[in-house]
Amino acid sequence: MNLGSALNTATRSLSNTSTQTSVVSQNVANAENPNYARRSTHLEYDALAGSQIASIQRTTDSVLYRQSISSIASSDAQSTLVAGLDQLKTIFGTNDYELSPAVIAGQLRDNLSAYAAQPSEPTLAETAIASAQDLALSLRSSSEAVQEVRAEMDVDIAANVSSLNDMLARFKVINDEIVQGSYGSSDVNNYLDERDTLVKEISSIIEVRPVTRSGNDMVLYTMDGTTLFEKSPRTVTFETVPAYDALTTGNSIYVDGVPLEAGEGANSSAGGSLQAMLQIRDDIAPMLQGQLDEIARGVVTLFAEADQVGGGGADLPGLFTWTSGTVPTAGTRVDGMASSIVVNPAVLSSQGGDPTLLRDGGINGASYLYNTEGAAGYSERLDDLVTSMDEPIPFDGTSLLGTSKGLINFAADSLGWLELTRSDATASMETKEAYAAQIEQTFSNATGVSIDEEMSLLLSLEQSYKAATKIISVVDELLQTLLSAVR
Amino acid sequence: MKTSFVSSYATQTSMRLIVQKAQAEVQQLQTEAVTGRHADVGVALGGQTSNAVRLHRDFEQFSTIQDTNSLVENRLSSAQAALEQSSQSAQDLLETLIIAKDATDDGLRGVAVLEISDSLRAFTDAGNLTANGEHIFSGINTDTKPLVDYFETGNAAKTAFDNAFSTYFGFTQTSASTSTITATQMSDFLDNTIEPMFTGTDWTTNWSSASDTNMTSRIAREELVQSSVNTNGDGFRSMAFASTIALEMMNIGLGEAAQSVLVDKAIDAAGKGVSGIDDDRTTLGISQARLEKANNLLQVQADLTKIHVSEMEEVDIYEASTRVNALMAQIETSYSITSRLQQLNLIDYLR
Repeated sequence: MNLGSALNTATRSLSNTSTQTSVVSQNVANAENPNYARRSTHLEYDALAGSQIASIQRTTDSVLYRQSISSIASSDAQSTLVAGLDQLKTIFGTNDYELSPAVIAGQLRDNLSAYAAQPSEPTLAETAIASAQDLALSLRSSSEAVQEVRAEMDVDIAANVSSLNDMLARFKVINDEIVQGSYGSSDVNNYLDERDTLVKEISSIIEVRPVTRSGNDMVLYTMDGTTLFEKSPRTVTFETVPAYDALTTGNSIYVDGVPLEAGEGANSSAGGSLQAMLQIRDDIAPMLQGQLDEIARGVVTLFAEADQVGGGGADLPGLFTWTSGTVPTAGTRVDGMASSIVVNPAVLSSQGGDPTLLRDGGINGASYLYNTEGAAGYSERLDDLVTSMDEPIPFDGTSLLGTSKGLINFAADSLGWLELTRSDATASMETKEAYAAQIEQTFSNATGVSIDEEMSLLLSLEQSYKAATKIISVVDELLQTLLSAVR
Repeated sequence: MKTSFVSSYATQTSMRLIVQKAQAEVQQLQTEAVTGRHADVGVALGGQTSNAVRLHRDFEQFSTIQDTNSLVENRLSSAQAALEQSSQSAQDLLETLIIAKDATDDGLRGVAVLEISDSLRAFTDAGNLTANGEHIFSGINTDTKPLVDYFETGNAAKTAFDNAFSTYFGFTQTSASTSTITATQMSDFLDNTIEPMFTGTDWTTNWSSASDTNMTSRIAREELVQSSVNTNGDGFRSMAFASTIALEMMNIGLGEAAQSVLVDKAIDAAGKGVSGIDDDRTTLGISQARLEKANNLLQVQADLTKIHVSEMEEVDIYEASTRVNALMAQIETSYSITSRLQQLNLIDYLR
């Protein structure tokens, strides 16, 4: 040891302190940046330089990071699902479900029973027929709105897929910088921040599992194991369907040629918004459509007219009819029926029809006439219609609402199914969002910046800087003393 | 090296999240406190929503049935009043006939005929009563007047009788030969010619346009009652029979024996008329009693339904408003903590 080396060490210390100070200053500058991981300096002994040098490191916590990615993915998926379900619920009106087939079918029943109590009153016939038109309209417009939701989901999927592809392209640029920088030992920390942020953003669209390989190279896999990124991005392809109806099947999203699966359940298995949108488009909305179709089939069947003269004629649509103009097979769903159901023009006075046919039957000709006496006070047919709306009829089991039920009960259960799903999904969303916020906070606590800590660090840096300058001045004095002794 | 496990960002965010969440909840609770219902019934009830919707529909159905029941009640009580009047006419007829039984001179018989025509008129009017635009004794043929007006010129009932009379006896009621009619002839004429015209199918061609099918009304979800009687009932037929024969033959100068047969027959028929109409009144009375029971039951059902619905959908307003106050306090605390935390900064102490 000599004075020269003491001077060297002190100078080194000054340089280290300034590096550390600049790190502190960078940390403070990014204190409010959620995607910034705190940098710290490590002092290492460098044999070449013969002294300690400061190296900058980036705080990471890979376990928390992966949890954070997955919580973001499932919370975003769940809120996408809830938004879709909210949209479907809005179709049926507010808290009173005033636009739902269940409520309007109830009104039709009440108006029919008022008409049955006074069958000679033509205005009551008009009132009953008006609520029948409301019911047909409700079925048609709900069915149209359900398909609109599917079409909107399709457009949103396309937009998400295209931004996913953009993000993957950006990911490649950043990843390349990191790999090159890591080989060349330049500071890649800012790129690492950016890459981690990007992975989070990608995960909110499609959940990924990041794997870091040698040279800081990152590979992204989807949860079913398909490669999304390795050295270069894999293409994610999707084609929209221009218009939706009950018979339309939406196209799959292909990740590297593998179709992406839709999420399942109210507490959705979906990771990222894409799977949740697929779930709405391919699972929930079609199920609701199927239930509407079943309600429509039930309505046509209940109001159908039977042959009254024993001529063996088939039952034919009465008050309600649809495109095919037949009474469909019992207990078997007819896809898209709800979108074409109308009130039979034969009873509409606006179209030259006769509203009293509702009371008398005979919409399909004389063989289907119930009121053979032509009596103005005939109420039997009306009363039968009223009671039949509560009597069990067969329904298609694939609609998940049971196979034998009264029409109004079936329609109410359809609302129940939707609200059960929405209620469960909303509860799960709250849980998942709280979890994501918690993880975010824990992650930020682990890797983020505390200004107070930086400030106290700054104090000690100030002290060590002062100490180093003191050493230099002392050595300077010693050398001065030595030199003057020589003189 | 990292020494602390609190980041400035997390501290700020946690405050922000608390406030955000509390504000969302305040908004929801405010709606609930004002409306008294869950802000989002569907989310609150989940699968129970179908029950809530069903109960609402049930309630509506009960009110509809209650409304239509008042209509049925109106029909039934109008019918009762009319039947009471008919029964009274039949009673009057009976009394007139009993008095007239002993009347021998034409003057007294003429007075009796006048009284009989009055009671027939009253009887016809009662039978043709309308309520709410419906002929209540027409069965389901509510748009047609059920009973023919016997005093209208050229009506089928009178013509049919006149034809039967002249066919049987070979002369008309105004003929002087009426005194030659024997008791046996009269008895045979009444039993085998005239009575079948009232008990058989001729009744519906000559006298009544009512349908045999009565009105039925649903007075409860599961209960259908008969809500009218029609003029094809035995009471109406017997009453018309008694009136017709008395009116047409009482004062046509019949012999003593024939007159006695006639009046006895008429008294017998009028008695049947009274009891027949009283039977109809009983039938409707039963319906009225069932209606009243059904109405009471409907009221109970409607009340229970309402209670069930409110148990499901309603929130405790007081709880909601206290929760709002608590949340406001929480938000305020959060604000003041945030501002205190902002002051609590090492920088301020580094001078």
